[in-house]
Order: sequence, then C-alpha cells, then structure tokens
Amino acid sequence: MSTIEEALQGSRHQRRAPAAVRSRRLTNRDGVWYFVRRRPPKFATVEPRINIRISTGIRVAHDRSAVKASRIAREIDLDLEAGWQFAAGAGTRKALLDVEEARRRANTLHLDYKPAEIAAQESAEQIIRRLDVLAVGARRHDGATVAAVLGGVPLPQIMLSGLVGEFEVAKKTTLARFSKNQRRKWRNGKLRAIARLTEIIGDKAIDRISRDDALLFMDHWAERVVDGQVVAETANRNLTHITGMLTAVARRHRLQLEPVFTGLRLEGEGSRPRPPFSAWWIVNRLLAPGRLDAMNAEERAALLVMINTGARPSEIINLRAAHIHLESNIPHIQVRPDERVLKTEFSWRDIPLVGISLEAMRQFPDGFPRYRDNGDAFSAAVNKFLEEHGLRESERHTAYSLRHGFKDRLRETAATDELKDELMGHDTKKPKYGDGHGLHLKLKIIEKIALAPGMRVDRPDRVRQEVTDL
Amino acid sequence: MTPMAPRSASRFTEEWLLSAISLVSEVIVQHGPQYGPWLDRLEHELGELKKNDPVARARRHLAAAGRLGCRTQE
Repeated sequence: MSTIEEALQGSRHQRRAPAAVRSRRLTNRDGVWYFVRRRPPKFATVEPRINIRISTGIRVAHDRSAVKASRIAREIDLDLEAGWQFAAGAGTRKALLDVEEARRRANTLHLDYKPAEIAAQESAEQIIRRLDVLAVGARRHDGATVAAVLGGVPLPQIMLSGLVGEFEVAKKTTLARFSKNQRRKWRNGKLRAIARLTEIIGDKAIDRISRDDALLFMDHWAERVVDGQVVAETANRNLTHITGMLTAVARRHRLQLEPVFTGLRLEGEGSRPRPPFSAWWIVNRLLAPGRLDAMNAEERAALLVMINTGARPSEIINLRAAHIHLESNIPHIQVRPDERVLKTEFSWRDIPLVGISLEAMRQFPDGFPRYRDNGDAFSAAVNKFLEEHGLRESERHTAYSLRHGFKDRLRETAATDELKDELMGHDTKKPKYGDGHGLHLKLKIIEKIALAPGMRVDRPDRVRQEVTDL
Repeated sequence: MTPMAPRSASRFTEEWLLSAISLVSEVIVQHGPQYGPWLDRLEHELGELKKNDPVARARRHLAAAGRLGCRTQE
C-alpha cells in the first residue's frame, strides 16, 4: 500500500466525518462489518464480480451502530464508482453535480467543499491533504470526485434581486410561525431595502458587492439624513436588513463574503420614542363622556383594553376566546402566539382586567375578528379617529402612546423592575425562569394605576401650559 | 503517481510538488481548465522552493561563475 493510502487508512479512523445515517451497503459477516454491493448492470463489462464484498476492517463489537463502518463504506462505494467509470471509458464524464452533491462527496472523503480558486489558496497542509486524497486509486479519473475534491463546481450565484427569496428559504422555520400579515410585513421591509440598494448599485451577484458599492449606498442614506428626510435609524434599519440577509444566505450556501458593510452605520438621531398619554389626558379627554362614541365599537373596546393593560395593540386585537378569561376569579387576558409569533418570548404573559378594560373586553368575549392579524388597519383607523376628534395629546401621540402611558404610571408604583417588565412583556435579555408573578400581585399593582372616567388626576405641567395657551 | 508526503506533512517538498503538478496536469487535460488555479499554486510553490533552496542558489552562483565543474572536481 502506498504512503498515501496508508495515510488515508489512518485518516479513516482518526478524522471525524459529519454524522450520517447508517450505510445501506453494510452487512455483518462473522462479526465484521462488510461493504456489499451488487454490480450495476452497466458495468458488467468492466467488473467481473457480480456481488462485491469488501471488509471495512471494523469489528461489529467495536462499532455496534456502524458509524465508523458507514463512513468507510461510503468511501469504498465512491472509489468503486470512480474505478468503474474510468474502466468503462466514462472517466471524462462531465461533472454535472451540484454544490450539495459536491459537498456530500467531499465530506465522504473527510474534506470541506471549496471552489477551486479558494481551495488552491489554502495552507500547504490543506493542499497536500486534498491532492493526496485525489491521488488514491482511480479517483482522478472520476469527474465528480475530482470536482468534489478540487472544487470544480462553481458556487451558486445569488443576485440581489433573489436575495429576499433565498433569505425566506433560510428562515423558513421562523416564518412558519408567522401569521400571514406578519410574514407580509417581514418581507416588505426587506424588499424595500433591496429595492433601494439595487436602485443605487444595480442588481449584482451578492459576492460581487464591493466596499465602494456599500459606501455609495450609505452615502445615499447620509444625504437623506442630512436633508432631514429620514432619521439615521431608518438608514441603519435598511443596513441591518441587508447585512442580516447577506449573512444568513452566505451561511446557508457557505459563501465567503467580504464584510463590505462593516462600520457603515450612520450616527445621528435614533427613532424618536412615542410620547406617553398622560393620565390626565386619558381621563379628561379620551374617557370624557361621549368622546369615543363615534368610534367603531371594536376599535373603542380595544382602545379601552389598552388603557388599563398596557398591552400592545397587536396583542389585543389578536386575542382569541380561549385566552380571554372573563369568568375567572381574577378576570384576565392571556397573551399567546395564536397562529402568529409574539414580539419576544417575554410577550407571553397574563394580564388582569379591571374597570373600563374589563367592561370593554366583556363586550367582545371572542376577541376582535375585524382586526385580527391586521394591526396596521387598526392603528390607522384609531389614529385617524384621534386626529379628527382632537384627541391626540400632541402631534406625535398615537394609539400606541397608551402603552407608554401605562408604563409611566407603572413607574410610580412600588412594583419591582421584574414585575414591571413582566406586565409590559418587555424583553429583559435575561433567562426566563418560573411562571412569573401571579395574577394576585399583578392585580394589586394594576388596580393602583387603573384609570376610570371622572377620576381626579393631576394635570401635567405640559398640558396645563397648552390649555392656558388656548 | 509516486507516493507523496505522508498525511501529516505540512510543508511542500520538491518531490511532492513535482508529483502533484503531474496529477493536476492530468486532471486539467482530462476534466477541464477550471482546475487551473491548482496548477498556478503548485507552480508558484515550486518556483518559491527553488528560489529559496540554498543549495540550488549556491549551484546557480557557481554556474554563473563558471566554477561549478572545478569545485565539484575538488
């Protein structure tokens, strides 16, 4: 046996191959794993044996699940095929295998698949290893094996225009849990980012995007930020979409992309947080008699539920009957991922219902079917109503500001930070242990901050000034 | 192909490079020019090896000085 083959025999035992299923070509013969294969009819002229039996050299007692033996069996199979192909004069067959097949073959030989131009630039040790592997038997004559070892299959070229589609495939397990509308919104943000990028640098293969392209793209955004058309965070969000997709798709296809977008985030104003509705405004404006009468009943009820739960609009309008417990000792809602994903795992929580929120929920014990999985329509309708009826505390207030108002009121209580975060469904970036705080404790806190029509609350200075100015 | 370096080898030798060049040349002729980068790399390594080999360099100097035969006889 040549040095190379000896080395390979050694490698069969020493290197770890990727976990794979047991080879179907193995059989136990006198306590040893044997490779067995019937001669393929097309190679009858070059292979005298009808039934081929080759010992793997692995005792069954030492490898009961045939992990090592399977690895060797696949290698024997590959070599037999290569030998037959060559002997049959088919050695020059075109290596019409795709990258996945090339990877599989390379792995069988304990190698990583890399395209020729990259593989040929590796360290001396790697080069020696690859060529030694190829030198064994008739491997050099089998186009498919040569392509797998030396990188003869070009990696797939993914154009920017196909990046979102590729990303969807890479994220299919995540997307499977999204609702239809969540998927649409998820996709649209990414499509917009790519549309803007291709508008500026053209539709390129993703491995052809240069640092200059990246700079051009960010120059475009910097100009828009300077002109006051967008805030820096909008530009950075676009950048995040693009780099996120490139990273995931490159990982999936094992592409080595230059980090051309590194360090290009724009500094500047982030997104401005929505201001909270003050308790005074909620009581004296939103809850003042008749102010919400013209509102659609579902919108009004969902808005009232928001006031004393602080839940996100999407969490309320997507409530299902099974998660609305009005007859419980402590009536409450359960925020759960019903055919959609929650914003974070911390969003999963139970919130007691009190006062106006409880009354509103009683009117819709089955939830809000009109707006289910359509949070955008709900927000648009409510914000329009608030605008048209002078119910915005400022131009920047939206329905979501009710959640911020709830958070502000929570801050004034003695609740621990952990309980506040739990009530808000905030991602604390800490591991989640146990079932969280009980409904009794939550109820005690919410009762302290619940708002009701006609109650006395101090007018904040800001509002006092604006009212005086009128 | 003549036996190449053992699996643990991490440095090129002239003998191994010549064998590898022969293997890759065979591959290129049989399977196509897409394996050209391999030949480029091996030829480059062989060139570097020859360039840096002190004995080869010494021989070149002696040959240039026309003294190789004389020194060898000594």
